Amino acid sequence: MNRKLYVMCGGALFAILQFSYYLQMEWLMSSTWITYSTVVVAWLIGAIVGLGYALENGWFGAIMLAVNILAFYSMRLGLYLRPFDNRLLPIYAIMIAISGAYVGLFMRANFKTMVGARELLLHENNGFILGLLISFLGFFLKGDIFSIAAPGACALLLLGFGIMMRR
Amino acid sequence: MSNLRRDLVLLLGGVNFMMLQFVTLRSFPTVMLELIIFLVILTYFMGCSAGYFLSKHVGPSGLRVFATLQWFTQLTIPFSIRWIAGTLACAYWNRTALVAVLFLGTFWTCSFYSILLPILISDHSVDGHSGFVRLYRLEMLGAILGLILVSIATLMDSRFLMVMYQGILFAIFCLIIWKIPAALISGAAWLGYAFAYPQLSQASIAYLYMNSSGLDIRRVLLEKDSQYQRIEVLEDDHSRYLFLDGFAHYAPHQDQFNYFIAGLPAALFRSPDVCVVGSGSLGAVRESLSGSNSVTSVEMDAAVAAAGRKWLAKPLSLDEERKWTLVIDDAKHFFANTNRRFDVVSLDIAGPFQRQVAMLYTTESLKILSSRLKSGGIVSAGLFGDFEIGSHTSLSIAQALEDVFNDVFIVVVADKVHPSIKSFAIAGNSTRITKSDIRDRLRQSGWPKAHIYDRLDIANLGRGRHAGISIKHLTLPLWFSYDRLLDGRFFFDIRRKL
Repeated sequence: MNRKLYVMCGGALFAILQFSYYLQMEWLMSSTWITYSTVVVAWLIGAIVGLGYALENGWFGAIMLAVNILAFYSMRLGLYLRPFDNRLLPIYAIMIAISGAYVGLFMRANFKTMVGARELLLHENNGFILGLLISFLGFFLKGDIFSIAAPGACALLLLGFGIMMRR
Repeated sequence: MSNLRRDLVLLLGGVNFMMLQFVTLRSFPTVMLELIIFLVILTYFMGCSAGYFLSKHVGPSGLRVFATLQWFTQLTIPFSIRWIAGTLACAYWNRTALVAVLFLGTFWTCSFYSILLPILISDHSVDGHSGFVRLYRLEMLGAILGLILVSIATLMDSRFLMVMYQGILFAIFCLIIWKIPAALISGAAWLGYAFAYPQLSQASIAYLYMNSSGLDIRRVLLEKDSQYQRIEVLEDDHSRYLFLDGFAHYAPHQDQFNYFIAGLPAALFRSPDVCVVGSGSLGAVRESLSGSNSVTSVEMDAAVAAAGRKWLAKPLSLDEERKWTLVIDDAKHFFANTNRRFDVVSLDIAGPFQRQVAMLYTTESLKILSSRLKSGGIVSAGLFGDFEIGSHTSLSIAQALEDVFNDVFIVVVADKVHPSIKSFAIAGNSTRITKSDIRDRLRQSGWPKAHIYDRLDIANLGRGRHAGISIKHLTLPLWFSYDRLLDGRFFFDIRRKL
């Protein structure tokens, strides 16, 4: 049960992170198609690369989670310091790909511990739905502050969950 | 199933999985309110979970039956969901219709693509761990290809996208069934779909608009799924209409709106440099062109500008063409990066009812915009409601303008055609414009009964402070769509007597 909840929590983080990446880019870069497709393609390429690496849930997992979140906040800082600057788009794509890579690492690591692909995909997707719901309501009710704070908060929750499971 | 067949099914499944996200949003037969956009996305992922769940109970033979059912129902999209929505909306079963089209158009279709990966991984010939990694990667690679195909398809008309989607579905179906008769039948059906698409699509659009809006559509001049929205240019016996994501952007008697949003503000200056945000029918451009030095249109969607020019705008004279420039860009991005300064910026855009549009009405965006005004320059915007009775939308926009600009004038007029009240705002810093300047202009243009409020008058209305639109407070699209969802007003944006 704990493992399922952990995977769901991961799914929720991915939804919140994806939503926040897109909203920040939409707000401080532009709402154009190139912004949307950059977020999606960079995320998917990152996930494809991340799937290639075995990640045991442990300190390395925690470090990779921290790198993932750091990538998000670096992008946010870049957007804050240089808003609407297209030249930084390739750098933001790398940040997004780093976060996407964590998805690949996470899925591969948890495939081993779940009963099978069905269980993993189902619970991760259920978490994703929950994350979408939280992101949507959070953004419209609490505004930009939500999409800045939520990825960090959710990552901490996932980290705490991971530590609890190891004990 | 052989390795090659399995790999191809997953790769193509990934392609269509991504394309479906786009197809469901563009073919959804309602006004795309923010909550409806979210419901479609949510249902898409719920369908995904349903597919993962079902995969536990579906074996290889079950997959063939499931694929056949899916192929058969998906072949009717997008026509069937328009017919269902139109039929139920006509009977005032709007909420039932919404659930039905969410189920058929999104939940059911999506479940097909998510069932594939877990079923094909569970095949005994797949090595557990490395097999999962390889097949999952293939599906994601397919998704990237899908996005590339969508990007190409948005440059063509809707038929191209849907025929491509159906072609890939046909290929997946054949690879799963692996029988020659099934391939022949589904191939013939796909060809039939491609040939019949224009007729079926136009008939279903006309049926939907007739039943939901009461518009007796004679011709569908354009239906296009652009990168940003669904664009429809329709014609009845009296007029042409432009619908963007179901919102009416050009309808009979639009001239009044264009005058207040662009003609009046431009007339308050001598030879101004004008910037019009949004294009539509180019009516606002035309209104401001006559006395202006230059007019720049900023439009994010090149397809809307092209549709407006081709189907809705009267041709511009050579002199007008010389003065007019079209810039394809997001308005926030344009104003943040341009070195140009304008006397007048007209927001000829929809109300703040979708997130992306609402962002343009925020105090933060208006501050960027104000920094691109010449000394004494002004911004004009529609308030989308009766300011005098305190409609929520009009007060929110007016407050955002008051938060950014020192001088704010609100013009309230009775619509000359429809029995309704319209409100518009003109705002700027250190403008030399007075209430009487605006009144004089309005009298000359045949609007002597318009009410004009300045900042002091607004304060005297005694409404207190209303929360302006800001990125920290962007609730307007949510509550607007919530109200319309509750009222069942999501199948039409304008309505004739049914």
